[in-house]
Amino acid sequence: MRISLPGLWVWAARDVLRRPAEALLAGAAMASLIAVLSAGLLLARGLSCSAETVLEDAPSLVIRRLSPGGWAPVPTRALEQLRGVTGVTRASARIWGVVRWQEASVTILALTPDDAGTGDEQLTAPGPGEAITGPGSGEAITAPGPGEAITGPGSGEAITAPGPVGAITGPGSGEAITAPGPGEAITGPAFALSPGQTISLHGACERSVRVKKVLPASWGLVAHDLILLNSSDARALLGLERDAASDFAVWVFHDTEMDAIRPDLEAALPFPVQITSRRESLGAMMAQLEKASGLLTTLLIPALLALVLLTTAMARIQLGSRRDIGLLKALGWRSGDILRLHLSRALVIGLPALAVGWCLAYGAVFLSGLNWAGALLFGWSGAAPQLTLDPTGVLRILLEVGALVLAPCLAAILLPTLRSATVDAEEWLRGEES
Amino acid sequence: MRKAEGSPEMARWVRVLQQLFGATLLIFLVLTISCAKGNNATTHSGPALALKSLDATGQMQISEQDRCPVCGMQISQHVKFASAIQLDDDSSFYFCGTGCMMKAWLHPEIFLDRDKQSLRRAVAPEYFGGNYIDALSALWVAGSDVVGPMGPALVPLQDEADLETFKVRHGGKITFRLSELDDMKWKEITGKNATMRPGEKMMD
Amino acid sequence: MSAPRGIACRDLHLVRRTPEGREHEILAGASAHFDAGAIALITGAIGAGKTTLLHILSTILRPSSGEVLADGEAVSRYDAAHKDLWRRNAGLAFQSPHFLDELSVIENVMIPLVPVAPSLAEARARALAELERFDITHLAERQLAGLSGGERQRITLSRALVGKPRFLFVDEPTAHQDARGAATIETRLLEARAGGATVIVVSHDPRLGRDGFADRSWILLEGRLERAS
Repeated sequence: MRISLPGLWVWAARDVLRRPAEALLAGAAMASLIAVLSAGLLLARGLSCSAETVLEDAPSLVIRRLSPGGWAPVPTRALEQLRGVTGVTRASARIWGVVRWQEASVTILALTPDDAGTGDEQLTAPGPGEAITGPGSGEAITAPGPGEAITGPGSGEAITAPGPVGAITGPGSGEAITAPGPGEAITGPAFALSPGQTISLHGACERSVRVKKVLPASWGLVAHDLILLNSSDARALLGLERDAASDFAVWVFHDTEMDAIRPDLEAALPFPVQITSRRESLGAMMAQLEKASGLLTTLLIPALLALVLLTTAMARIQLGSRRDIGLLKALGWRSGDILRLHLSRALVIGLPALAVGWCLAYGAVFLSGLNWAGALLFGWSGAAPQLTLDPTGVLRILLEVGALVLAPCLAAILLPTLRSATVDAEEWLRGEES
Repeated sequence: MRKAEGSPEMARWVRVLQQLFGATLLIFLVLTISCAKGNNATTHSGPALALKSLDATGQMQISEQDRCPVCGMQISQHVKFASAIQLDDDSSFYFCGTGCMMKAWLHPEIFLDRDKQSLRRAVAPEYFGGNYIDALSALWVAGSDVVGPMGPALVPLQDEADLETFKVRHGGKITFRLSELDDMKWKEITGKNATMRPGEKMMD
Repeated sequence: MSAPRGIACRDLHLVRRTPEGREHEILAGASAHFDAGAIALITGAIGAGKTTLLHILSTILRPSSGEVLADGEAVSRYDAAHKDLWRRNAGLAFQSPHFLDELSVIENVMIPLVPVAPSLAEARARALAELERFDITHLAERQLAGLSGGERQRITLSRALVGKPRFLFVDEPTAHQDARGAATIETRLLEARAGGATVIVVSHDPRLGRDGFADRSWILLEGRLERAS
């Protein structure tokens, strides 16, 4: 038994090229379906993966002060009471908030600890719940989320407070960044600013700061759309008193303490608070992601069905009449040869479509300056943050999507072929006689 | 003529059979010896020590390859309850949780292939802060709502004040010290025999 | 005892039901042996069942009873898959030839080689050589539509011979051919015979009956094969 797959493959390719328009249509339909599906899932995966990396060092709990009108600043002296609660391994006050810049809301964060009383203060950025919601759209920032240390992808190392000299170390690279002095700013990559430019921020007052440095995209999701300021500037813009901060971040050792410690924390503070745990904000974020990717998958089911229909129609055309198959049989082709021919035809279209679809999806999510997938699916705007990804996760998604789209198409081609491939050579004569 | 042809043929077959038999015997011997060696390796040299022992301040230095000698779990996956026993020769065993450490402390001859006299000290991460404390000076709580890597956790606490807070937050039926622990106490706490490896069925 | 090489048929019967519902026996116990390395010519009146006999001998059609043997193997009893495989040894050139209209002439000739040739390039080279032997190289890239009956007949013969078959079944090879074309086709069939093939030709062309083209001639008469020479 001699099988010459290469010969059959070339033959199949020529068959496909005999109807270039149809082949192109099927290929484009398959590629775009794979691209959209993969892009959505890759984006969700990238976000959750990035968030997990970030969350490794995120505070266990974030405490905000409630006032009749909404949120109120917290007094930094209350840190002492928090640190006195059994189970609190670390507590810090954070200065951050939303101000206006060129008609848009931006998040600012103080990067210099000016509070001598809290020397071990950890500088932390607003939580992933906010950062995830969209670079550029500052809306979700108003929701309380747990903060976390600014971490670079992979390193998981928090930027620790710069101490009196005010120098911080960048993630991974070990690149040192000096905290901005008064009148200076370090901006996230989302704003497309360059060092030396002056930006005018509007909050409780108006303040112009000079861009000292732009953080590279590798700083990840959290620093993506942040403007880092000196605490004096930040306090002025946010209208905070000298001994006030935006909220408190608290760390505990065991995750089980995140819920158990709440009553004691509430009791320790002399004002009403709202406490959000890392688990809660992660859950909220995951629910949002799941909703988006679930919606995407549901929307694509009709598209997949249409593709299967198209493939079936194409297969039927390409199969030819029973008489044609009878002729092939009479000339020494076996059922297996006919099956292989059709499989090859399908793969000649399907494999390039798969490759194109994957590349488009990967490029849309991870390569382009603007995150197209994020813009389309989640309504993001501005430059995309660099997402952290685990290669195995990406591979799994690509394979899953490939199988999801390719398998029904192959089945649509092979099932009618299986029936026809067993046509007897005698069929040829029937055609001849009729 | 036929006989003259037949005998060398026969002799050849006999030789082939002899060789086959010899080869089979050799393979069998090699396999038997290697199996026996494998068994010896596990019974005589004992379970593996931690790659890096406790440091001078009693901190665990967990490596990726460290495995719990009692249950076989990877220590680095369970750092929050990971505990250690240090031997007289300064080497240490690391455990995935406090329960495994206690079983080894009670029966080092079973789980560590060492006698009790060779154990110098045990350390465990104190519940609220994660600082390693001496397991003998710690206050231990069983029957709380805290879950460790092997189910309901035996929780080490630093002092009476922590114990009070812990009980308010997580409950806890039994409080004890490691020095009070014996087989009967263990059975009272966990309902199991201290000599059983995880997954083993009780014989009685 | 080795089986005689070539094609043999034993007591072939074929019964067909006419549209009126009567049973009509086309073959009524046809038996013969066609030697390897020889040309057998089967003649008979129009409607005698010559073409049907050829279809049965080439295993395309199943007889009502009786069997066909190839080199002693009862190929008529093979299942469909084995018949398909066996047919790789056979070259079929039937009347009113059927082609795949989407393909060019040369691609149609290549069809038997596609599943077996080591590469498509080699299949193409062999198909081109075969077309050349029939003086129709100029048709290679043409489509089938618009070709004359004589040209189609030669293409069919190229397709039958391209796989160097051990058994060749040819129906009216010289129909629509002028004297020169008929002579070319005769030469090709004689070459196949020289190569050891069993060649069975069905024809009522008197040109093939003369000058010793066939090694043996048979007449299909009332559903039976009778030796004519």
